[in-house]
Amino acid sequence: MKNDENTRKKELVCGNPRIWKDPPGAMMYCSGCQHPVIHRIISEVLEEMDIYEEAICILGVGCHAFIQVSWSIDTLSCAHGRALDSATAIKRLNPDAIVFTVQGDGDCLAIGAGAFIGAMTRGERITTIMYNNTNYGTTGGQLAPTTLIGQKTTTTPLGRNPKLEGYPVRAAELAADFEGTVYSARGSVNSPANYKRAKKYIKKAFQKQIDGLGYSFVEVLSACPPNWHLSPVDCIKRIEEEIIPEFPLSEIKG
Amino acid sequence: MAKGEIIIDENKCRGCGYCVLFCKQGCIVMSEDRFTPLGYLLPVVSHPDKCNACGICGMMCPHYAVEVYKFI
Repeated sequence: MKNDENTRKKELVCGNPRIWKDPPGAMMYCSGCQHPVIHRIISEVLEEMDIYEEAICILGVGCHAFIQVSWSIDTLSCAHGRALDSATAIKRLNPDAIVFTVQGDGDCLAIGAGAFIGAMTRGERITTIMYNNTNYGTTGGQLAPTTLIGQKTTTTPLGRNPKLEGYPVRAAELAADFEGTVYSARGSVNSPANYKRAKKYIKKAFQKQIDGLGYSFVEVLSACPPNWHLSPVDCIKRIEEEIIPEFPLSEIKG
Repeated sequence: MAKGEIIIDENKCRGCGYCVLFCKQGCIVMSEDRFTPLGYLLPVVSHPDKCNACGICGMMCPHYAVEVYKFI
């Protein structure tokens, strides 16, 4: 039977995306980090919509930016938090290009809050995919704008106290309030069903940009096992039980 | 007879266990004595006959270590 299986014809169901070079890129991530899963969604969407040749990806600073060495599409890594400003310039000079930014929660909501709000106010025809892992993963797990109340980080060892550190920012709801934003959604990759939903959201966000309607924004929740001090499997449970009630998954606008 | 084939690349695997968690058919288990070159526990395909080639293990693998083939 074994020989029989070796000789049977087979087709690939799931492997590396076509636009993914095969190099140590994915290896740079910690065990159980879900950022590469979101990279896979973006790669699959670019391939399925057949827009990877005209796509330009603008990266901020953070764990998500390690994708630069692995993607064969055009990428630009810019100053911390200024991804949307660079994306604006590139989109205005190349109106036919599909310009999207890949940012983390610290890059988009903390240092890049001004650029984020500016891009939404102007209604730029670009797409942002924001990875939310509720802390600053690259630098060792400090407090981020999206850190949940009571979550322990290296800068809030007793848990986030709203009287001292404030409340978490819900980026997708914030983006939905702006008239320049035509699409805002929040997805997650904590289960195969949510993976498919997140993929649908990202596809719609790119479609809005192709139609030239305005700014589109998708936030995706991601696990960060080393900084949450949990095993990868417990991180999936934490996303389900703690983070999704705080950051509900839905299409908020569009 | 198996409908699909799962190939796990030991060099890329980081032993997070998401393939074991999300496989509804129970094809993959975490081994207790085999390790990847990086020192993580290696998942092994213990019941290849149960695989229905859904591709979920490959889809959810953060390190692109799993390839799934469907027999035609």
